[in-house]
Amino acid sequence: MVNITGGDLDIYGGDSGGGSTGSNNPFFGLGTAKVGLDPGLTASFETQYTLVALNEAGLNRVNLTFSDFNDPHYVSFYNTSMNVSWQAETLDKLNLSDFFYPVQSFSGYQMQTFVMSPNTSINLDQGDFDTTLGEIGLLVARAQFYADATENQRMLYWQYGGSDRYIMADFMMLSGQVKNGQVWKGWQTSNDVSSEIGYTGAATGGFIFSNPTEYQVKLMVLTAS
Amino acid sequence: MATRPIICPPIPANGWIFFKSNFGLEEDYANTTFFNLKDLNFGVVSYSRLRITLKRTKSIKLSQTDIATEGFVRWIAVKVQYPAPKNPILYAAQTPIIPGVPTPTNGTPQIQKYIYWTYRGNTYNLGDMMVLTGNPLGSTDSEVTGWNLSQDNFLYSDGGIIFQNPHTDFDVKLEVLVAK
Repeated sequence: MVNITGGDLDIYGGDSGGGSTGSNNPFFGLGTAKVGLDPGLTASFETQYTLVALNEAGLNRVNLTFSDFNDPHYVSFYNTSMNVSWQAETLDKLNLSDFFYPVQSFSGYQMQTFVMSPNTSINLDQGDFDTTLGEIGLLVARAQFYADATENQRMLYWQYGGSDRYIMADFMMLSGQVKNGQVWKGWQTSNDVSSEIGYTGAATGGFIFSNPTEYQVKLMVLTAS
Repeated sequence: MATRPIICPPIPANGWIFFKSNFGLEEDYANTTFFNLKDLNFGVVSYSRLRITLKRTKSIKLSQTDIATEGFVRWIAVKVQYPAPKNPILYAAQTPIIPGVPTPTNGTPQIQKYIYWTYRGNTYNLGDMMVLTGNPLGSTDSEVTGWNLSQDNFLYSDGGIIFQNPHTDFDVKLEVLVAK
C-alpha cells in the first residue's frame, strides 16, 4: 500500500498488491492501483486544523457558524409591535401601541372576505360611507395563500383609482383622514363605473384586487371611515 | 384651604388599535379582533430602520438601494407621529387653566393628521400608518415586481417614495421599517 503524503494530510491509495480483494473506493480501498488524488503539478499542500471546541459550550460556536447563523429573519407582529426577529432575538421593532384610528360620530366600517379564483379580479365593494362621500381613512387587507404556494406565488395586485397596479403579499395597510360631509384626505372607494348604457367594462375607480397566481387566495379587507 | 380640583381622565375614545398580535376595534372597553396577525411571519434577508423628522412644508425621499434586490424591497412600514397633547390625561377634557399645570392642548386635530406620499408620479394620502408588502420577483410575470426604492442615479431608476409634510405649522416624525 502506498501512502501519498501531502503536508499534514495522508491519503491512502491502493496499490497493485491489494488489487483483487479491496473495495471500489478509490480513496481508501485496497483494490486499485490508482492513487487517491492526482497530485497534479502542485503536489504539496497544507492543511491547517483549528481546534474550534475545547468543551461542550464551544460546540455552540460551531453550530452558530454552520447552522444557526443561516436561520431566516422574520418580520412579525407580537407584543403590540412590528418586530424584526432572528431566532429568539428581537433585532428591531416598530412600536404599534400608540397607533389609534378613532371611531368618530360619522364613522363606519365594513369587513369583506373574498375567495379569489386564479387569474381573476374583484372590485372592492364601496360600502356605505355616505357621510364621507365614499372616502375611507383606513384600509387593512390580509391575504391567505394556498399552503403549497411558493414565496413568489404569494402575491396579489391592487389598483387604486385606475392608476398603476401595485403589489401586495400577505398584508397591507393604508390610511388617510376623513371629514364629515366632505371629500378630504382619504381613499375613495367609489367604483366609478361608467353610466353609459351597455357599458360592460371594468370599474375604473376605487380598489381592484387581482389574483395573478394559479391558486385560490382568501382575501380579507377592512375599510373604515 | 383651597385644593386643586380632582380631574378624572376622560372615557377613552373608541377606535382601531393593535393589541398584542391582533388588530381590532376597541369599543366601550371591549376589544373585538378583526385580524389575528400571529401567524404572519414574513421572511426577510435584510432590513433598515429609520427615524426621520419631516419638517413643515418639506419633503423627503425614501431610498434604500443597498438593501434592495434590483432596487426592490418586500416590506415597507411607515408610522407617522404627529404633535401629541402636552398632557394626555387632559386630552379632550374640558378643564380650566390651572396654575402650575401645563396648559393642555389637544395636540394635532384629527383632520390634520395626514401627509402625502408619492410613488412613480402618483400621490396618495397617509394618515397614521402604512404597510406595503410584495415580492421582489414574481413568478407569474416576467417583469420584476415589488416596491422600487432605488435611487435615481443608480442602474434601477424610477424608484423611491417621497413623503411630503404639507402643513405649515407643525413637524411630523416618521418611523420607517424597510426589509427585503
